[in-house]
Amino acid sequence: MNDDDAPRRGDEARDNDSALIAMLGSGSFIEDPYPVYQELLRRPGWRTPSGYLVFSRYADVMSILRDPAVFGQETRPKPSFHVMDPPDHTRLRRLVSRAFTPRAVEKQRAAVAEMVNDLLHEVVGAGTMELMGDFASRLPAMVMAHLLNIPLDDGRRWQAYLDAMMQQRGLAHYLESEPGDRAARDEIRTKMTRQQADFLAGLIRDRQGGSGGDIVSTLLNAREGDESLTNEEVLITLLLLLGAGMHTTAGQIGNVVRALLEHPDQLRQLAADPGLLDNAVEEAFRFDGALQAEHRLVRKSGTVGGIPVSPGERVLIVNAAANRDPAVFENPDEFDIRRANARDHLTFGWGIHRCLGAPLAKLEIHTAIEQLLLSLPDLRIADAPRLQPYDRLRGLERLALAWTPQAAVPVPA
Amino acid sequence: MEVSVDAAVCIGSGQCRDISAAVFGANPDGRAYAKTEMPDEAQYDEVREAWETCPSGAIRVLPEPE
Repeated sequence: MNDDDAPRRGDEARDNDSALIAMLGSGSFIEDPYPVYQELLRRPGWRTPSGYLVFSRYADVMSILRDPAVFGQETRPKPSFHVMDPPDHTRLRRLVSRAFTPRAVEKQRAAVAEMVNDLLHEVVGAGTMELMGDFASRLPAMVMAHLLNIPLDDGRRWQAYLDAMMQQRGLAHYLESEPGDRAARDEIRTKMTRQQADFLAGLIRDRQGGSGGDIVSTLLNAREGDESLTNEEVLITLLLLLGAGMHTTAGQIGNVVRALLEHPDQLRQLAADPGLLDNAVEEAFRFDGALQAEHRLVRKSGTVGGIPVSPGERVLIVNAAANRDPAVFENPDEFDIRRANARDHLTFGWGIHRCLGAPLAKLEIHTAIEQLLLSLPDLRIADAPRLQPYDRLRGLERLALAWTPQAAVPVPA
Repeated sequence: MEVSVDAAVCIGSGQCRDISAAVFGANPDGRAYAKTEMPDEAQYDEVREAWETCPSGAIRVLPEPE
């Protein structure tokens, strides 16, 4: 580490802090966080006003993600396995991981294709749609309902719940403030959680004693010696699975469609060579991931890229900044569907907490993009995209699309 | 039975090591590797379970289990 990299103190550092804080606080951060991320890449271990140590470089993020003994999860009163450390995390995640492997997910291909087709069939003749409401937020709910064998009424019930969950934080991980009335939000959140919990509790009661192969039954029947999961653990695990796979996937669908339509040269390359779709989707994950950042709690003393961290400190890792690290991704701000190492993105995280639903998300998004491009000729963005006001999860609130309706009904893949 | 790990695909979940520490280890970068290409017959069940639960499909087993 040479003198240029050593932490600077004094007026210059304070001015730089103020500038960065101002960038974060301005409305343009949500619109386009990537210039801020380039600044964060230059300032490893920057401490935010809200007390997080921020790490953005790919190498630093990886060294945190692969060391869960030092960088643990910040737990909460009724934790799901997502916010647990080993060995509890290991035990619970193992119970459901089988259902989400690439092999298991592949079996859902035909069902997902049918759902995509059904959704598109509703709009294909209209020539316009609002992607998020008409398609992107509905598909993940339908897929999850199918996978878990839970009636979700195509997700409308869950949208309100998930919206309430999401409204918790604006930029609270960077700045000290949260927008709006926190007490009111907390009340809505508590009420909605009770409603969803009641719904799931009823479902659990119905499945009790059964021997089905679905995930609810698997969780209910899981045994390790004399131990089994309490109904509350089953409930919390279900809430995690349902919660983790909706807004994330919906947001990512919107981000992928937007990236392709805003880069017509890339869209043309994809049309000319549909075999590029897998890599195009990975590159869109890298370029504009739904998951922008994660956090960890330091459990033991350690260092990240030479910067010391102490137990009790909170660390924010900015996956989306790591995805734009020029040390790993050449011309990182370029959307290039032929990028050889697009797959190395960290939008799903890495290591023991890496997104369980990654293969499912990829299947949904691949199928969605394939069908959208096949069924909707001259697809284009019809109005300025509108973003949701969240920092850690990046997705559109609204994406108006238009196309030239074709006479024939699209054929399922 | 032959077993190997494709390091390029591995995402470091650690599940294989949790299931069979005898057959699977971790490199310093967190990715898994197979400690032996030819596990003992007594280890076949755990290797199969690791193959089945690997979240990225990085484990190769030949012949491929059903």
